[in-house]
Amino acid sequence: MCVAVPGRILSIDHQPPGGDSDGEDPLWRIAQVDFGGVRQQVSLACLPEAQVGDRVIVHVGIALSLVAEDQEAETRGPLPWAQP
Amino acid sequence: MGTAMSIAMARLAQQLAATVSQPWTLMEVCGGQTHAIVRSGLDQLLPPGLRLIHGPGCPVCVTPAATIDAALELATRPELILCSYGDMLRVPGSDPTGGNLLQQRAAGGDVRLLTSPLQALAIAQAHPQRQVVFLAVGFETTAPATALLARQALGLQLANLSLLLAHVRVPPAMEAIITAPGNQVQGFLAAGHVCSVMGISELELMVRQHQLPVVVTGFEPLELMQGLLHCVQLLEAGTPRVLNAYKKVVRDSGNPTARALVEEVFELAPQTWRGLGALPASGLALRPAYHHLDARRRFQLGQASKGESDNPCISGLILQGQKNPVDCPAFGKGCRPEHPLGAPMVSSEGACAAYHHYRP
Repeated sequence: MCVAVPGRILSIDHQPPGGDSDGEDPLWRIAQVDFGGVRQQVSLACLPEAQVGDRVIVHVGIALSLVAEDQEAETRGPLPWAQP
Repeated sequence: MGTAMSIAMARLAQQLAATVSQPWTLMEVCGGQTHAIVRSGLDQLLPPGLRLIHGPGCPVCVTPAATIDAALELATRPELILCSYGDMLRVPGSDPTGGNLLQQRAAGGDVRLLTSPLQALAIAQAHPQRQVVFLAVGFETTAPATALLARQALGLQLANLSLLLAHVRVPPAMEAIITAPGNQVQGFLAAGHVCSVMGISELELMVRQHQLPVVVTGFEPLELMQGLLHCVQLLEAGTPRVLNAYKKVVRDSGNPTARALVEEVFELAPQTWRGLGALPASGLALRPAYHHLDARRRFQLGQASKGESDNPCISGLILQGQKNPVDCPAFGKGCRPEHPLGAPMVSSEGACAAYHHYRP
């Protein structure tokens, strides 16, 4: 449950059950997220700053963290002590 | 493992060997990290004297047997739909021969596997005549989703949804491990995703109190190896502190929105951990505004455990890091993934399952 695959936000919507009576309540903000080809609906209730195109870490259906792509490139690229 | 990664791992292993000047024992807290370590064989690349022991960070494993017993009892009620995560459906209760939730389903119980608590909301709305109970477990990574479900259910005034709670918090367990008599842990690899919610302030408090290094670590073998190296460097230098080695995901302040939601719905409560016993302030209880969502109140469930019956399983010692899965007399014999005697053999985050899958 603590392991999570990062996915990329494709679109963001607002889906209160039973219509739009809740206005823009962040409780019902959802996203379509692409996990390497598999698309899933994810709640953005806990990540109000998330935008389309962001990479996010999702736990049991809710996005909890933005992946900082610059930091990621640092981790994935050659390690500082690796010889060429 | 790809070649580039193998080379990078080997380099890190070399650097680790060059850094270690005396024996050290470290613990990775999270069960997801345990699986990555055993699967990648990282623990076999460590220099002599550097020992890695596996922590209690498997939510399925530490869920008390009494909670499983309560879920099993609820699942026999025909008016009720019981929902939880997949691994929870295969965990035995206090009686290892007494069946699990999947067997209850085979016997006619309406037991449903969810990948998100939010699915329970849709089930409750689709079945207004029936009671829906979500067996809510997990650490700080799943608590926000349970809190969101409670908040949504409150907003919609859903009368047929309730929660059977067994949420747990990581820092009190780390605290219990390092203050236990016979503790061997000298440094922690902290669970990266828990920190992405909670931030690092609670860990900093622990470091100040107990003077041992804690490195916030990711889940890839390279990230784990780097975390180990950082931790050993801090130990060798005698400079215990919290180091965030998973900055791409973990901000030092965590996720304030998620934390606020959890704090709105829950308050800290004592919690019994399977294997560790009762730990103060290590669990979450619903705040009064949410008491009507408590399945234990709604269905008058007792808290009492029947006590574990005769079972050779040593999962308690494994969860405390005192024993390795292969030390258990039942490992691979009476206890296998298809016939587990203890939860660590069931869960995809359990240490016994990791050894069984990757160290045949």
